[in-house]
Amino acid sequence: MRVTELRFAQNIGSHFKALWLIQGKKRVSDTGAAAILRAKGVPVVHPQEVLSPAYDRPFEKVDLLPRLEPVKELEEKQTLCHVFTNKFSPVMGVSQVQLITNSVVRSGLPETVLERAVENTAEEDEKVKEAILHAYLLDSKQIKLTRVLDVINRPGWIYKREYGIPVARRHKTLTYQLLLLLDHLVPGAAERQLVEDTITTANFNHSDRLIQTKHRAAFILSSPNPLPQLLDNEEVKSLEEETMPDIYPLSPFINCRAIGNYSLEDSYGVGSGHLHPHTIFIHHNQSRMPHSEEHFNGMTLLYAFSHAAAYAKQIAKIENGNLEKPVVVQVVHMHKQHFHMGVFQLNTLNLTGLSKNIFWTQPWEPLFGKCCFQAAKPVLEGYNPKVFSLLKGLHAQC
Amino acid sequence: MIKIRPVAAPSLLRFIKLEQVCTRPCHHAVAPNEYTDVPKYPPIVDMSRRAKKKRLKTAWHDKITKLPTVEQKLMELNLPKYYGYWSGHLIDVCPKLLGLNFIQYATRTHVVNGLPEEYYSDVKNEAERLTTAVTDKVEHLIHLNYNCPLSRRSFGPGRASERHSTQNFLLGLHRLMASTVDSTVQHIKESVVDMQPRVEAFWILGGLPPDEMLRKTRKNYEPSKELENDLIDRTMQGVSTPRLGVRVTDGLPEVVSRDDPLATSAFVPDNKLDPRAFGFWPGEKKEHSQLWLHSREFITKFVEEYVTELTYPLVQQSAITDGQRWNFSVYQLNTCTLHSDLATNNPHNNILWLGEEQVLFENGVKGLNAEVLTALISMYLKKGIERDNPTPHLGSYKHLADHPASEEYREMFQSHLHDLFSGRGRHFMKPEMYLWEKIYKKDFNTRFFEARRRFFENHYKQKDPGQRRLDEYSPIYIPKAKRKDRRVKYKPMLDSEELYKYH
Repeated sequence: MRVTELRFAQNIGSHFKALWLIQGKKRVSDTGAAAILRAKGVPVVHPQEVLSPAYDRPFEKVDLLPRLEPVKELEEKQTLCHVFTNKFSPVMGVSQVQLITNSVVRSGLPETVLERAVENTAEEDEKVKEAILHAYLLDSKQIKLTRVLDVINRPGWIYKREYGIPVARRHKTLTYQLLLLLDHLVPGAAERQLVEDTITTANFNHSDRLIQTKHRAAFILSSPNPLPQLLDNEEVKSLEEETMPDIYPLSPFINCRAIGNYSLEDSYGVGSGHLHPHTIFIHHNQSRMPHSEEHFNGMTLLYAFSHAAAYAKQIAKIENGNLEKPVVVQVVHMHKQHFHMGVFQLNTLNLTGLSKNIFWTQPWEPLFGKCCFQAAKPVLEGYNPKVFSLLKGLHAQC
Repeated sequence: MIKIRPVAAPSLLRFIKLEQVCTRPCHHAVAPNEYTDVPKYPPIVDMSRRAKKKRLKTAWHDKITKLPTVEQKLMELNLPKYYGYWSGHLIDVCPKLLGLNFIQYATRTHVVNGLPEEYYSDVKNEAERLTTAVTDKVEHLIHLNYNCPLSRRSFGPGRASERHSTQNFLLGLHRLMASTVDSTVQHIKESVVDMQPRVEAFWILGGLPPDEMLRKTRKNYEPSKELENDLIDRTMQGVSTPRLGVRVTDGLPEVVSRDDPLATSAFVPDNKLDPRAFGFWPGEKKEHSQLWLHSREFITKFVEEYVTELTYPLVQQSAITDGQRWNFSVYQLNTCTLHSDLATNNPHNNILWLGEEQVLFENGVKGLNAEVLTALISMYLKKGIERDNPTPHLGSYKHLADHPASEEYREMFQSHLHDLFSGRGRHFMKPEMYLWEKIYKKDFNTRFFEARRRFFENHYKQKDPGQRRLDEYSPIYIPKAKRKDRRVKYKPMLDSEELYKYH
């Protein structure tokens, strides 16, 4: 039997091509002939002085793609700053945010809201149910939704990838429709203005650190008259004796690392001096909420504080941290069917001082239990009329 | 009918008296009188290829008309094409060069300059009164949106930020209109507002010239040689995304009863998608910064009846704006059956009344044009009328939810339909002829020795993928653990009449 040699023949072709490429780029080496000839007095000319290309080959530089402006990278600063964005999740929930914002929490919405939160008529309930169905089911928008995973009950099971209405769109449609319904029920609501998709930034000094809140609101409802103060000045003074929760050994800035690339610019969503914040609607647009109710509630307080403070810094008169006229702001924080409502009164911007801010809230309420198609029929189960009546109560404040 | 008494044994036959006389053997009922005075000839049917094809088409159209629910009609419309229709796309944000003529032809629209004054005459006074009430609020809105610094999400360079600021303005404006107009009318209170709804329409457009490939195919195939230059139908898909849509239950009254005709030239388009239909839209607001308004207007709603004729005209009002400049229009849909020769020989045509471009405010809120507001308010005030038979081509249960079939079938059918409309491709793509196959098997057949198994090769099982129907799939197997009846191994197949059917 003849033993054939191992050839690695698969490389021959590419080896051949590589050699062509390499040897095609001839480098002219200096043989020394030119120097010798010159020394002997023979004129030596560079070939390019005599030869010229057969035809003109101009190369035109064309910008095929529009030149994008380079993203301005924020320079690293010496002082680090804790930037609280929408993605922040307070580990200790409401207690941590109380320490950040120097606030006191009351369980239960204020009396002024609860007395205006009247029961819904059957007609109103019908309209709200219709609004929910339209926002959650009957919209024909079909976009690839995020994957559904049920690690606990069906680990490893791959669910069918659904196409449907994204969470952000559901929230927006529902909120806008509910606002339209509320406007019919409250006189003078036409004076209020609505701004969509705002960014509010504000900087503060907390103990020896710099903090910045940078929050996006889905809607800011502003009114020409500011909301009336809920606690008058004596009651505000009495808040100074209240104790703040203690989360030792955790610091209030846990889960928020200080960063160096931030920009110190204050901005409030609605930059008009004639409009005062009435209600802020925040939508939590992730399809899965990675944290619990406590964290969600804590974020509501933070959103309320950031908007009230940003507005106050622009408009209100501040004397060594304390506001002459406290700013009241209402906030509605939504995630799918959960509604968390709160009323916040900003008394001071001094986050380590004695004077405290106050936040009234109650546990979140689900608007409905289940909203889906069952045998091709749109079905809404577990509708909770309390949410709409609370919204009415909030909307009626002026 | 043969009546014979049962006999015990053949040998006993002659001893048994048959009760009835057995007449001549015949296998069907004997007519009492086979002859009539007047001859009843069967209808003379044109047996030419052209006529046969037309009969098939009409039969399919009739089938769709008879289906009782919207979903079933949509499914039946999609049944002939497993891989979807190769449609011409008319998208409102993609203007076609010199496309106005074609779009007018494709939608059979006659354009009238100027809004119909008499249509709004009944609401004009009310509108003017409300305008005065609303002017200063609108001024505040404009001031907020266009003069004040609003800190908003940045949407990047280009028109995106402009569109979002217009969206914000329109949202505020609608809120204002709804609350002002509310005191006088009920229908706005009960309206549903959609933000950037997905509006798609599908229709079949006839009267288009055949393309080169089709003509060659026809010429080379003996039976269809004479049909070489016959005009063809093409499916059209219209896509539009208005910024805001206001929907109410009753459709608007007609502006004029069906009117004069229009026809222009036609060219052949491109692309493919699956169809979708939509409901009533009395008032809409769109956003634009370009000036090819006409084309935009025609991407309207064509309801359930694509192949069936409308019984009453549908009217839609819309406004195209970028906040400052406004264009109002009213569209009356009289016909949406534009297939075969109905594209040119239709007794009805659709009408678009297009108003002039008006400016709401100059730079800096000075000079608010009240006329624009009046026109807008009168659009809101226009009330819809109740039709006594709004959906004559639907059964009593209009939607699949009330279909008599079982729950399981309804659910499967609906999810199948939603999957169709989601725009996701099929799991396995349409079979394609690879380039090497085109060269070595089709154009220059050097592989004659190979077994013919591909779809473009002639063999006993050859199937044209373009002709594959939605209901041509292998039945879905049910594993034993999931079976309800041990013997029923497969799920029933898709069927437009009974949703799912065992064949």
